Amino acid sequence: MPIPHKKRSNNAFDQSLKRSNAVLLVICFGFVGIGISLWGKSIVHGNEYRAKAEQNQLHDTEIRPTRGKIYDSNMELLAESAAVKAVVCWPAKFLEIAKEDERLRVMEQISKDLAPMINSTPEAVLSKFKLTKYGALTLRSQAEKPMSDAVSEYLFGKKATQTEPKVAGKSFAYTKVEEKSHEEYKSSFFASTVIGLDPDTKRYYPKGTFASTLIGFTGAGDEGRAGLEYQFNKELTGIPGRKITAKDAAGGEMDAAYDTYVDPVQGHSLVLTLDATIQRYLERELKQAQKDTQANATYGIVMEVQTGAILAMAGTPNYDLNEPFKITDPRVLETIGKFKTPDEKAKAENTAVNNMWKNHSIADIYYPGSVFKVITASMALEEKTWEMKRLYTDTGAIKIGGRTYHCHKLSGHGTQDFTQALMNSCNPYFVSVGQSVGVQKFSDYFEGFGFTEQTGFSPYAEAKPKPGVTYYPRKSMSIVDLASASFGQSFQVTPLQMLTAVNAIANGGKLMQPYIVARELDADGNAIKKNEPTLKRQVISNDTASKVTEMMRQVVIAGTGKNGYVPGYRVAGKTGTSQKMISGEHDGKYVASFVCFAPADNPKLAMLITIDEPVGAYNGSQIAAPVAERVMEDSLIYLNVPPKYTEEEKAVYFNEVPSVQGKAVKDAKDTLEKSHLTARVVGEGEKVVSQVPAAGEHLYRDGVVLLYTTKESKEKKTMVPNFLNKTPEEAKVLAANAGLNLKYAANLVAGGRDKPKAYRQDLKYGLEVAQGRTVTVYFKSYASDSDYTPYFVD
Amino acid sequence: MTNRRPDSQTHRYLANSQRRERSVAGSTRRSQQNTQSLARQSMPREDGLLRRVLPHPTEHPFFTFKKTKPGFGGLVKAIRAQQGVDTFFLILVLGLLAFGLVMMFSAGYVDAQAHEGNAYAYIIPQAKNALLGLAVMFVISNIHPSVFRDWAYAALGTSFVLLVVVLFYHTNLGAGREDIARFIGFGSFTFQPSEIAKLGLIMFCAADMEARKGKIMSKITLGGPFPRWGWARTKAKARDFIRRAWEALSAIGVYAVVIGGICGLVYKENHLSGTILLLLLGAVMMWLGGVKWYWFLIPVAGIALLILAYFAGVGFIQKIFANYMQERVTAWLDKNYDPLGARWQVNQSLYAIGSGGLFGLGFGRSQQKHLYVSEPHNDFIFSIICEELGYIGAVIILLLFVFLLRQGFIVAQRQRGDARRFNGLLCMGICFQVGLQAALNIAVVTDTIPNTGIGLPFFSYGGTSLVILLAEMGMVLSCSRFMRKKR
Repeated sequence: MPIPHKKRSNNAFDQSLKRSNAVLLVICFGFVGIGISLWGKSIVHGNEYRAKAEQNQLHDTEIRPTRGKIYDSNMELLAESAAVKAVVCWPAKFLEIAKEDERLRVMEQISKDLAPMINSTPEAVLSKFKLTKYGALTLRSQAEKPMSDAVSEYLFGKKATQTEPKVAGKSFAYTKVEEKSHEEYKSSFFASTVIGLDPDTKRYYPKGTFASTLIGFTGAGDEGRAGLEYQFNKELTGIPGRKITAKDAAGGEMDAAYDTYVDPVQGHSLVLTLDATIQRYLERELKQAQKDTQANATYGIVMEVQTGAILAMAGTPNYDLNEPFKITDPRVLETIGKFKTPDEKAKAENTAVNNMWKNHSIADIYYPGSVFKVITASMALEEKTWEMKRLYTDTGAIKIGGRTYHCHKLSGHGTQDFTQALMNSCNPYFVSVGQSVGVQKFSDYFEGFGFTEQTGFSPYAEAKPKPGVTYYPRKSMSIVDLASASFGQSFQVTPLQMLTAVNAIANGGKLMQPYIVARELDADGNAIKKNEPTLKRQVISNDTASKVTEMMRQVVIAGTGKNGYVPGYRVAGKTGTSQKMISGEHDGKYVASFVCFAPADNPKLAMLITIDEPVGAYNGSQIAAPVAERVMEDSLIYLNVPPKYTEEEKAVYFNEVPSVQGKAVKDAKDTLEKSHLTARVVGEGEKVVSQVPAAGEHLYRDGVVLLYTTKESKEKKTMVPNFLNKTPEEAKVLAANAGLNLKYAANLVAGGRDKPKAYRQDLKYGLEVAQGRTVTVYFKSYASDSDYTPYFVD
Repeated sequence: MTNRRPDSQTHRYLANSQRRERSVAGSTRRSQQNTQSLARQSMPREDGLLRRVLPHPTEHPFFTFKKTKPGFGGLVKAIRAQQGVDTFFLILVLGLLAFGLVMMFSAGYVDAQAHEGNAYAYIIPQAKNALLGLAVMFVISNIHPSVFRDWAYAALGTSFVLLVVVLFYHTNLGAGREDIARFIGFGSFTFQPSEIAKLGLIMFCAADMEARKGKIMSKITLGGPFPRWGWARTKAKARDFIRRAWEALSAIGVYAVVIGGICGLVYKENHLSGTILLLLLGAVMMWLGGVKWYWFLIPVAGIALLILAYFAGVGFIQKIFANYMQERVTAWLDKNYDPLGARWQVNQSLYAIGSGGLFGLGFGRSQQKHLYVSEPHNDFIFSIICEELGYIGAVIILLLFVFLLRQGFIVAQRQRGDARRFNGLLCMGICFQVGLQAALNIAVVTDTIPNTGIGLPFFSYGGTSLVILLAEMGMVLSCSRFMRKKR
């Protein structure tokens, strides 16, 4: 009898069968649970984990573009960057160690190891590590090679630097870490995840203090902080690239296939209009002037007349661009030293440093004083409210609107025409001229010459004229204000504004925008941007400009500006001495200035020299004009501008040496005397065998020609006499006695009662030199009639 | 064999023979369907209260088995005559193996380069072992399952011997891991006795539970109707109860001792994960073998007591716990614990899984395998798979394992013939072991359970385990020749 199916199924196998389904079900549930758990980990928390993984793996490094160089107009290098390293840390990565005491221990260990390598203290490093909310901090920027090598060895070990990948041609670069103990392994292993070396750049200025206030410097990260470095930071910096590298757990780089590169755009190089040679002349002279006058500051600008390009811009005191935080001025150091508390000291230092970095030529404003009279003259001539021949008698004072304006010559200059008034810098005359122009016209021209706006040279650094603060706006200007404005004493402008305005006169009335960057070059040296001269406007007519130029030329020939005279170069100029006003009161401090351009018939260079708060002599004619004269002469010679001597100048300065060779000594002497030259006979012979200088050369008046009468006669030596404080006549005698040729750096055409006196000589007193050599002696007149403009005396 | 009363013996024998006849009739009917099957074993059947008799000497399972056992030639003939192996199962095995090798190379070459100086340092031995394993699988799939039963006790004995040997003679794994005694090495060849012990345990359980099925499954119950009260009947019932209880207890005791012994030895190796795995494996084998549910209350109560003792503060238990597990458990519970040490592996694994997202970074493009995930070719290979192939790839692998498990169970459930219980238990044990290992491994990688050291079958690096795994697959394939095509 067959067993019913139900009964049969109740055996051991079927029991297993039933239970196997249960087991299968349970384990499948397990797998489903795992699948769900996996969903949570990979999808729900996926981004969180991915971020953490990337935080581990990816090291995003910025590839700094190389900062552009700065050249002068002759491609002389002024600034360049070199690649160095920065030691950086990623403090946030310390948070991977959750236990606080453990984290602190690792931090301390690493900071102790690292500090001596980067010339820091463990405390300083530790304090940066503790800023764990920051992603990245720089521990040491601009670490040069020895330092960065030491850090690299610490981080990646010698092995990493020595062993090459075992498989050639593959990018595996793993090193086994095995000799270290567990603890050591942990902390040094961790060091490489929290500390790294980033590419950094360091800026080098090969010329140190050269044009420092103009060029400026860069700070951390090669960011421009002052001057052109700041103004053109964007152009110089370029666009940084990025390199995103995946790193393995041991700090080695993964396969390059994981890398992402974004190429940096290299910074543009700047080619300035600056001429290093002229800049050097200017700096040399300003430095000397600073020394001589003990001034608070001196500054000078040289501008190319036709274009408005700045050829030189300098100031003293300046600083070394390679050490921008070092204060060298002993006066400033003394002032800082007076402060007691460190806080005050630091504050004073900060102020001093900021002042030092300032480009005073564009950032400071001053009362232009008498220099402004040329602008007033231009207005009056252009508007024909005053004529060249118009006579006016100066009695020493003029009363306008109840206020009396005194002339600096209290006795008055007497009756003068326009040119004479400018030569004398007569205040009452120019007050009258100003009144004839009127407030409206004055304001028109004030605006026209660009005094109410920035010149556009450097929008960020230039002082911005503020109506009502730095100058009287048209609406609120009274005739009293106009009176003082006509001799430049009621408004403040920057030196650059002043020079730009005068440059317009030099340039036939065309106001040019001053600029400094001639070209921008890309990394390959191709010019990608070229700055053309910008004509802002025609302020005055060419005719008026030439009239004012002629007046200014007279100022230099025989007026207050005679110390700015350069023989052969027809300098036109105007001196200025303005009072410094502190809240409307004159505090006994002055700004001496001299503006000039040359040659007058075809101007090449315009220049403004300003000396702020000189000690002792404070007249622009005495202290600023000689500076301008020397810079102007050197620069024009350097620029190959041929000198053109007038007949009068020729007679005074310029004598062609005739040929006296073979003549009898007496005849030769006569010939030379006719040419205003002195003969000096060497030897006992009858006839002149040879002469020095040779025929055809030029000598200044009363130059010495050596006549050798015997062949074997030796070159004679002589001692350089002391020319200091000698008049040209006295100097002539001294030089002739010594057998030296004298070159006068002096205005010998001015005439007048006051004789100029020597204040400098290029060969030192007491020096043994060969006879016949030329010694240059600088003269200047210490005229009692100054151009100083007392503001007003009631 | 006993001094029981002859009359009752006779009575019982008669009663039993009646049942036997019925049983034979049933077998015949079944054997008509499977005419090619091996000579049947005649098994005593026992069910129902008071009908249980001692088996006739000739019916003793072991004896019977011996008697009916054919020679080797016969076995070969028998297996040749069988149907082919289960195709789906074979495809799953080969698929997992190929997938595993490819992923193992992808995940492990960076580590191999870093630690061995050769990117192929892991894949070449693994591939060689896979080829060897496939050969072994092919050979074993052509061996009659009864041979496995024959060798079951030997396998268990070998396992025990090896587990004892490994305690005294093991490969040193290097500094900091001296207390781990898992590997026996002969020169460059090393293997884990615990891997063999798993197979030994499965084979033993399957064979012994087949032999002991009556005892295992005997119910301890007063059973049956109580028509009338009477002392004799009550006494008989009590005696019967005690006898049955003793029978069951003695049978189960064998497994308890064997499983306990193996687990104890593996635990002595400092191999907790292996211990747990073997314990679970033994428990499931007992469950599948038909051990009554209430017997499982004993180990459950024991574990509960242990846990209670731990929390109650019994020093000895706490010490054992602290010795090995505590840090891992702490690391599992406290997600911020020691990120550079205990949690490093798991954290990096999670970062890898998270990086993969839904679709993964692409094959070979894992970044976490660059020395972040430790042992990316071994225990943590799954996290690299997740990173490279994404959640979808991971689910495909999970599904492959589930299918393998299910197909293995289907092979077991469709066994026919008298050896079907042994075959079934063997297949289920093997597949369960594979599935459990996979599940535990993935659970560790996904931080679902504390970190243990279980590899992912077919994927993780390891020569012995791969060869043994493929040998086990060969056994399942061999059994699959005896499965009904359809239910």
